[in-house]
Amino acid sequence: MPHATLPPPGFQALILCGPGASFTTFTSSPQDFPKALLPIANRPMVWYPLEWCYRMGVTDITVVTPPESLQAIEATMSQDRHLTSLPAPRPDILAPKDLTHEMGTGELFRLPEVQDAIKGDFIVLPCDIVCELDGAPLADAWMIEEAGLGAASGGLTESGKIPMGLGGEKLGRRGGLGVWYQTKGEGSVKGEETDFIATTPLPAPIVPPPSDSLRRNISNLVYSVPTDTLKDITEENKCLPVRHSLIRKHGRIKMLTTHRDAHVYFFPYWVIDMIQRNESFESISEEVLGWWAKAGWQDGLGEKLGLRQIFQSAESFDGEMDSSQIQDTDIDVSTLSSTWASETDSAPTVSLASRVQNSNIPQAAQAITKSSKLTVPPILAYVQPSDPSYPLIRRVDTAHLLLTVSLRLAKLPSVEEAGKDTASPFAHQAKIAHKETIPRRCRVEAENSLLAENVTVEEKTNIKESVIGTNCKISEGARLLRCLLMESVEVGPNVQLTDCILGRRCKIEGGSSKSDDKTVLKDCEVQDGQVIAWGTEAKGEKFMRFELGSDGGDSDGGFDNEALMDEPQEGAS
Amino acid sequence: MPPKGKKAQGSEKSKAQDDERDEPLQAVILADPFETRFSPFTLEHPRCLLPLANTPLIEYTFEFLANAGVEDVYVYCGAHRDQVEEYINESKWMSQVASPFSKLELIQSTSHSIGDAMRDLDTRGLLVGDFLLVYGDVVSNLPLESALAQHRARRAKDKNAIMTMVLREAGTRHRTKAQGTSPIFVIDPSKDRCLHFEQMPNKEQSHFLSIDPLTLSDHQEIEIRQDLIDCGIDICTPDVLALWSDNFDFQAPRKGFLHQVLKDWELNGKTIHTHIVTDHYAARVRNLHAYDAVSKDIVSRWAYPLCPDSNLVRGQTYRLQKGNIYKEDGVILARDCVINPKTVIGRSTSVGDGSIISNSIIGRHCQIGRGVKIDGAYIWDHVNIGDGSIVNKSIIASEASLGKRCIIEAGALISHGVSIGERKTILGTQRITRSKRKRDNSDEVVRGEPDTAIVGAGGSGFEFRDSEEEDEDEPVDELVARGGLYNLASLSFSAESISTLNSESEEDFQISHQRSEAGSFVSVGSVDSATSHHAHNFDHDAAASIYDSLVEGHESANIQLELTSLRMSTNASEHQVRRAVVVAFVKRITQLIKAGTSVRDAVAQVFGQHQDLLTRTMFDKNASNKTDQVDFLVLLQGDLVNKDGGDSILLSAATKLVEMDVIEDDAMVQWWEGPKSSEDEGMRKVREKTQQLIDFLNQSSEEEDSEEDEEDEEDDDSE
Amino acid sequence: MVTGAVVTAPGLSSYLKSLKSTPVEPSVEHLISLLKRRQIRNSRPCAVATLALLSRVVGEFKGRDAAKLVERIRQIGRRLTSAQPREVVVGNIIRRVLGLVREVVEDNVEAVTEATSDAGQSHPAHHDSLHRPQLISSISTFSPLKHASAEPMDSSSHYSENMSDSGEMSKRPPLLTSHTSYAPTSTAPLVNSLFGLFSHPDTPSASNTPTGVQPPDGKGTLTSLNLERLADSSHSRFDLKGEVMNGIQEIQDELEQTDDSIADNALHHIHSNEIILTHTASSTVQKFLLAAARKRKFTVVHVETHPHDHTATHSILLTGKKRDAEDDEEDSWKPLRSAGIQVVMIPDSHVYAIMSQVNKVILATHTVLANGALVAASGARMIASAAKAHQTPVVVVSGLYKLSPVYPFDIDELIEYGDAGSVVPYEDGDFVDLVDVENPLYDYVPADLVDLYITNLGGHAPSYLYRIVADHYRTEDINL
Repeated sequence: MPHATLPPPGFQALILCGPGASFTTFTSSPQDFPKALLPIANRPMVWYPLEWCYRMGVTDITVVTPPESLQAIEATMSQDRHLTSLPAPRPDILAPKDLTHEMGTGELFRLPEVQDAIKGDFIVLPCDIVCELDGAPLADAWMIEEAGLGAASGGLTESGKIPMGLGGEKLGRRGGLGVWYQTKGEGSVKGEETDFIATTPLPAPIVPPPSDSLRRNISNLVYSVPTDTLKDITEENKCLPVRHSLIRKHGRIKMLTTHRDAHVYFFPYWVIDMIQRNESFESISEEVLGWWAKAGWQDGLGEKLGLRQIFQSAESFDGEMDSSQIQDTDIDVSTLSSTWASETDSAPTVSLASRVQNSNIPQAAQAITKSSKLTVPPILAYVQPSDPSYPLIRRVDTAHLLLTVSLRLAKLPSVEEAGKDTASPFAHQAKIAHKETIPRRCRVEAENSLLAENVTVEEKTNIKESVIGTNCKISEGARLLRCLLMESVEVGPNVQLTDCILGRRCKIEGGSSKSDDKTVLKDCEVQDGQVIAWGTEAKGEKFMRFELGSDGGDSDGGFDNEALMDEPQEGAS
Repeated sequence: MPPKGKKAQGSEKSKAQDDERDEPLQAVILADPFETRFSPFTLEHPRCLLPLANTPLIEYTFEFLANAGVEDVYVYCGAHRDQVEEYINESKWMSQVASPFSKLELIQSTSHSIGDAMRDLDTRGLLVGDFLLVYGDVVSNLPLESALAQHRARRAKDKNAIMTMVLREAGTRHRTKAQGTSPIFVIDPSKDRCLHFEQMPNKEQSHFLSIDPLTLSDHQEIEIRQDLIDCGIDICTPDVLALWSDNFDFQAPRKGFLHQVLKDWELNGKTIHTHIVTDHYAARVRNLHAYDAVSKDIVSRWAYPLCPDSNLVRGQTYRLQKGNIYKEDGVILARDCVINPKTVIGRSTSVGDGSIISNSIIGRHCQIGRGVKIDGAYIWDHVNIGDGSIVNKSIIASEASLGKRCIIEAGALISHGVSIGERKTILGTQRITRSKRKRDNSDEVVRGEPDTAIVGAGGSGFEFRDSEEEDEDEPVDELVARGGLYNLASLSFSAESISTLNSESEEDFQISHQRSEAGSFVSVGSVDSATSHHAHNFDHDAAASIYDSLVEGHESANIQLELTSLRMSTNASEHQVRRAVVVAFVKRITQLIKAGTSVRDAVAQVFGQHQDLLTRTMFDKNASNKTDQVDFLVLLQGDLVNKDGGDSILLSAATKLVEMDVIEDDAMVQWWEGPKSSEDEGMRKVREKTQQLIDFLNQSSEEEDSEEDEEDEEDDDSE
Repeated sequence: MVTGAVVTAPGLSSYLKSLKSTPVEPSVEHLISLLKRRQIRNSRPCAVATLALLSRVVGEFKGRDAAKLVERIRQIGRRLTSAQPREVVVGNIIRRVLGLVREVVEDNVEAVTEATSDAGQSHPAHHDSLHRPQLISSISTFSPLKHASAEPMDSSSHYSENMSDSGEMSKRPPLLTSHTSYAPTSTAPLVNSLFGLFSHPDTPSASNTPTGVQPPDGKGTLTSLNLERLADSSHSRFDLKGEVMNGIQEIQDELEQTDDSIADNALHHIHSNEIILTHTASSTVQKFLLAAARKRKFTVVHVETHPHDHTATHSILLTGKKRDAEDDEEDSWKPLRSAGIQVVMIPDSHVYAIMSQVNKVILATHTVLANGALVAASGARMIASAAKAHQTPVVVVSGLYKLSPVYPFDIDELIEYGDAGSVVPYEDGDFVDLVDVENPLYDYVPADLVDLYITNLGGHAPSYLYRIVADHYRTEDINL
């Protein structure tokens, strides 16, 4: 871990282990097998965000999960070889007692347990994020843009409040940072949910950031809404209305329609406060971000969100503190720099002819509003350029994605091939755990497949672009193409599987190649422990215990859309 | 063109041969944008000859074209053609030795809008290949190679890329940007394609740029840009002209042409692209504000090498001194006069003792007296300024003269030849001229009677009141000007906050949905001031067309037809249609009344003929709450507020409408009780007389109610 | 379809091309407009363009009347210089050519009148040295931007007494190419004057005879003589045009060779392991350094001269070629780095800090003025003063054609102020509104900050420049 050596940036990371509403096939019983434990390329889902945190040197990690899933997760935490192999200290697992699966992330953050858990600036992660992008540069960028020169986590005072302006926060308070990634392009999944965001460029720094810095892709978020909500809006009034006040405030607004919120947020401490005050905030990704972004430019919205109280109460609180404290809190370090440029809120200028000067009314209007000017700290957006060369960022919240991402990870050169340093953080030690166990007379494409510990592969099998979990058994003559097998799956002889996801301990019965009926499955999902009889030919089906199959089947369709919709909230439904 | 002149073009020509080009680069200068932004100055002189930093505007344009390596230039003159022609003929651009152009032609046309001009141009068929379309007031040192190259590359790929607009990036707030309304370009950065264009009025706060959902779905990434200076430099292909002629109703190049072409992209598939430059200087002197800004830019050398001291025009001998002070030869300065930085002084101008001049541009042969204070003023040639006068930010045109101890407040405009007596004060809002138009939209001007109240004894000139301020690409500024700036601002602001409240009250995330209400809220008070771009665009045309057909007594069917088509084209809301109708009708009525017909007859005549036209503007005949009809009435009322005899008209109109059953009784009542009909003093005054009608209606309606009740009971029984 | 390249903005190359096909008048106008629009800028392109134009003028010139030719060239010169007074080089070239014409005339006149008037010969010889200081004074009555004022004829008559003196000067081979061979690199005026003595035995110790004052009538006679000479030159059968053309050709060659002949001195000035500081993208300096680099290893510290020249500087360091359009005809050379020289580029602000380690400062220049001062790319003065503070020698490399008889009275007028936009982005609306930016393109470096000039004649002390000026420009041409 290159960054393990760095002093921890002092962040605290929250990993929200949600329901996986769209994994009806596999997460039907959250108590024993929650979404967080679904294997992505033979590693439990939650491993990825954890690894990400460790990679960026964040060790203060809290995994938030509903009580019902607590045991399952704890168990895996202590047993799974991938999770145990993660560096110390172990993440502490928080299971607020009244946290249910239906609860939105907004509420989640209003739970007392969570409130207590958060002590400073914090990072919010979903459990289903696969983020190859190193977090440290992100954190750096955030600190440079927002946190000024001071420590990232405003030091807690004994009273548990963060003193204002500590660390030279510009404009009193520091903003947040979110991550968006392009869903189109290679590795894109049809029907993947997207978010519509509008961003404006940050004021150009006097000293341009280095060419490799992420700051080049960081902009100021002014509007964010899930695409389907956007659709409702546009249908409602036949167009997308954009306030002139926004346009007037920001000369250049970039709108992205195909990006998606990675739900990775760097939040300053006061955001907790904001969520607390606004009961109406259902979920972080929608309400909190959306309103926060809007508050940046919409006059008077900040007040409505109670931001003034948040900031000013804190300020007054400062006032009460001993004078020395006030001294250094009042100093905005960044202003001391000779190259410091203030925000351009200059006074309206008088212009030539009166007939002309009358035309800059907005300024006149501003003058009126000036009295109650409240600067809302910005919420920044790191929008990853849609260029395949950039590291992988994906949220795995549909079966489709689960498959594609797994397969994509399977393609990564293993540590053996690439070598310790160059290998991707997600690379496995070896593509095929035990080569010697593979019999000669069968075809296994190692470059795009993953075979975990003690997988038995019999003769004449053909395995292409597949991920096969531990203790699986592939019998003679079976053909696997683009399949994901979770642990201890049995595939009988002469079975043909394409684009299938096979749950744990499920069994595909086989038969002799002679017999006239055969088993062919395409785009199927087989639930844990299911047994598929010989002679089944299915396409795009879901094999489940009780017949959820129908609505599970069209998992892109009606019913699931609600699920999809509160999916980004990661709320535990 | 004699051979010598031809050969004078060796440079471009020879280059041309090297690049085996088949056609020369052509350019069209619209010397007269058919606007009255610069009135009263433009009464006597063509706009393109007004001096900017003591150099006629059109010189800059020519320089720009010469830089770009243009060969054939066509100058489109409107008003004062003779002067333009005269000037150009003796300028170096015409002279065969000096001119870098192989061809320089003046085109006179009877056109009264840019649209006409373009169509006229199309019929002449002068333009063979791609050409530059610029205004006579472009100031730019921009080299066009890259823009042209890109344009051609695009053309080569796709025949439908018909036009490339050159835009200069300029921050969110910039003095050189258009002020009255800011143009908003919606661009697909990946293809530099312009997807949508709108004018954002800076006056009202609570309006909305509406983006077509299709644009959202079609493009992964779009940019809304308001930080651009539209310097009016377009690289066009002949198809552009064709389009102009196809759509005979296009008038303005941006608001009309651009907006429309982008809108029906699905129909004709023509795409328009943008070329956004971030270096070099490019701006248009589109109005007086821009005049001020661009002058500043030039003086402080943002437009280098277009600076006074490069003496672009023959015979100029400016020299730069420290602090951006430019002096021409033969300037006579008294020993103890003070010339502060950012000042330009023309030849043989004399400045008297103790005068202080700063940030000003002073032309040639001016006589500045003793102890004069000039700050930020633009003083043209042959101006006399008497001792002890004080001139602030204002424009004093050539041959004007001020008496002793005059005070010119910031913003005043003093036109050609005006002379102000002693100790007079000219207010910032006043525009003094000496001549006025004989008739509207006719160019010949006559000298008006001096108004001694303003210009004092022995002065000549009077305050200029412009008959019509037609606005082409952006509403003219004084629509707002007259005093009510701040209350208007506050009003619009309150509108803003209201709609924010609403949008917040129902927890959803559209940027706002209160559009129409907010829109009408503002618009009621001032129906004919451009509320939103669409509305404005529509109102303008629709009202006009309806009015005309009213005058010519067309079938209301035809009017209806026209109306709908217009409405489609600008996808105007019903509300706007109604507004247009109301505006037109009222205008007609008032006109009839002026003509002598009694109010009653006038109303009867106008409304009577067009019953079905009216009915078709309201769709809530059998709805319980008659929002449409109420809206109609509110509009009517609002429009009549500032008409004389409005109340009586309203009364008779209302009665007539009820008679014709266009407006139902309870609609009338709803209107009466509705908040909007009595929201301010004016509205209340207007509707006073209508009280009687309402009373009458109330009685009748009560009876009806009772009847209805009975019926209901019967119904119940029957069940 | 029209190709994109069509509309490359006009510049030097396009001008030279057009010159062939275009008659004189238009091409004069054309050059004027190019100069005004700054589409031709910097010394060398201006020099080239002017020379090309003049050769065209002479080529077109009908008749044999030298006086007319002189007048024509003057008049063109006046127009050009008034178009762009700050490009002093234009004036220099004009003067060179004028001088050329006169030489040609006098050579032949002398060929004719050799036997007849000896008095005319010997008598001016006395005043040889006596006129030198006066020559300077006559220079100093002249400020570049007051061009239009001076009438041609009266000026020539006013200085006509020097006519003859320069007449004998003209016995030396034109362009004094002989100098280069002898001239020691660290020239003192003394040496050269001695050399002058030797090379002209016919001007003996007369150098300090006080009897130089002309009777007023003498002037008249001389004038008439002079004119009559010029006039009768028309009768005498010699090919005025041809010789002038040759002369111009020589000047053109000189322009081409300047850099190399300067570079020849490199080894005398740059020694191993030295640290050389220089600035701006100047082909002269680059070649100078390259020449040294062939034999010696040293370090170059390059100041980037932000904002108006840094792009050119960068590219000259990386590719060895300026990106400017007009330099396409300029032969590119391989950058210093490839010659194994370590190049360090620093921002202008670091100059003072690094100066203590620098052994020698080598400056390129825009113009060299008669008083030994120079107008060079902005930043030069700071560098020079820093060098002064550290007692670091400042060497200026400059072609002769940049050397002008102009005396700087109003320094501000020599300095051109450039585009404010290159300092502050124009987009920054509030800034643009509130702040005025002055972006001088050139600095005035007073003579006392410069230690040595290296021209294609070799090295000279600043105090000696007036002499070279005197050798190259005819006093009667100093005011165009």
